[in-house]
Amino acid sequence: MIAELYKARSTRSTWWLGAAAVAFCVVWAVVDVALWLGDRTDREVEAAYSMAQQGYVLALVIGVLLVAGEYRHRTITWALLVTPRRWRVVAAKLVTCAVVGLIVGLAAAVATGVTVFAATGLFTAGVPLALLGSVASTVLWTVFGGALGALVRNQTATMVAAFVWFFYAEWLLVAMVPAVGRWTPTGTAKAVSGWTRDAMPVAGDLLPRWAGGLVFLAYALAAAGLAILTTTRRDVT
Amino acid sequence: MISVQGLTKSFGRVRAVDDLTFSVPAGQVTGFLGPNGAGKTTTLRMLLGLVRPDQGEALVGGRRYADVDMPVRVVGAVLESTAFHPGRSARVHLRALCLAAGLPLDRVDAVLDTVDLVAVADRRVGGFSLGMRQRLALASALLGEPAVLVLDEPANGLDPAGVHWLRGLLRALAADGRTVLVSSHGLAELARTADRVVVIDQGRLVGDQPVGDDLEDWYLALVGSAR
Repeated sequence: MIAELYKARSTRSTWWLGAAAVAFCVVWAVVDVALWLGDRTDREVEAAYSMAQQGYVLALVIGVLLVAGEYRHRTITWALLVTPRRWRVVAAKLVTCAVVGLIVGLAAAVATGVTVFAATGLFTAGVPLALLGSVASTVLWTVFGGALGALVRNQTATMVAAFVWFFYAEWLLVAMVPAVGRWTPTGTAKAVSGWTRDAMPVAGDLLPRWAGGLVFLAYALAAAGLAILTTTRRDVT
Repeated sequence: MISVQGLTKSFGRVRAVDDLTFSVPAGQVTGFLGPNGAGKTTTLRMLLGLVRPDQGEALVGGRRYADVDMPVRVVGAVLESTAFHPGRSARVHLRALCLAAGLPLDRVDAVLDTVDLVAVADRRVGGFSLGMRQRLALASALLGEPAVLVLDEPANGLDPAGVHWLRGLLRALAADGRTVLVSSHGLAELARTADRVVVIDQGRLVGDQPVGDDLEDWYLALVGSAR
């Protein structure tokens, strides 16, 4: 576990991507505020703060790299030689993903919060919850990425599959059957941060924050469980 | 120390290892020979718990690798000399292994010294030559001061001085009472390093005996006869 964190810290890509995720959130927040029209309702203000979850694609990539990177560089062999009980290796990696996601999420929340407040001077009672939700969603996205990486193992294939799903397939699905929009991974993750601004043709609103959180948590845990199950069974050649 | 009993493994329709039985005693260097694709690496991976046998078992000190507490303190392995994250330095790689294995961090400097990599320990592995990677892989295997060493092609990519150094290291480890199993295609080198050789072909055992006068003639006759 400590070794996994040490490894995550030791690669530059983790930090570059983390920084990029934070920067991404800030840019989105600035854009959001700049495009504000009309009334600055509480809901609008919270939506601007919830841009702190916009680094989710990069959080997913960090998770994929942290786990699939071990297969790409074949360093997984060393990890399994040291720890033959493979579920412990996978679990330690996913916890590491959560910790890295937490750090990135907190940094993004602080940076976005400061940016929006500096730009608008507005703050509502719902803002802390929006920021906290964003942190939670970033953590879960990173774990989700890690679990996908452990399942697929091929770094490039995992990324391509994840991008195709999250950028195209999910949108297409939601466009055709709007009612499922609130149940997809992206939809539930956005619900966690209280996201309201979206071009996605979701029928009605997203799930309530707690329900979205639970469903997204279930997605992440299901992926993690599958990852552990397959990793303990497979030959490492 | 190492015993392989009726070990069998198929990948799809290819039978990689076929009812293989042999043992490797302590205090000697045992060479593990066979043509490309004979099943050597698969056998070593089953021994190390990375590949699950279809039948039979491969034991280290009477136990399966996965059942050994703190396996890196019992078995040191070199499987893929290129398996390093290019962005990490040699020292970081070894420290991460120490942390995962619960070994004291001063082992890192000790093994770096043993394999003569102290001068480049803080350079990123991406810039290492094959020979340097081999030394780093050996350093990783030696971290836990194991009684058993399983080395897949450790001489690959070493320069003549490196080969000479490796020979001395393996002889010293065996003289120390450790079990050393080395797979290799370098017959001339094995003839000078190993006490015994185990030869497999098409997943089956075809020879198991002390190193004789002309290892090459003997090996070619064995492997030729199996075709």
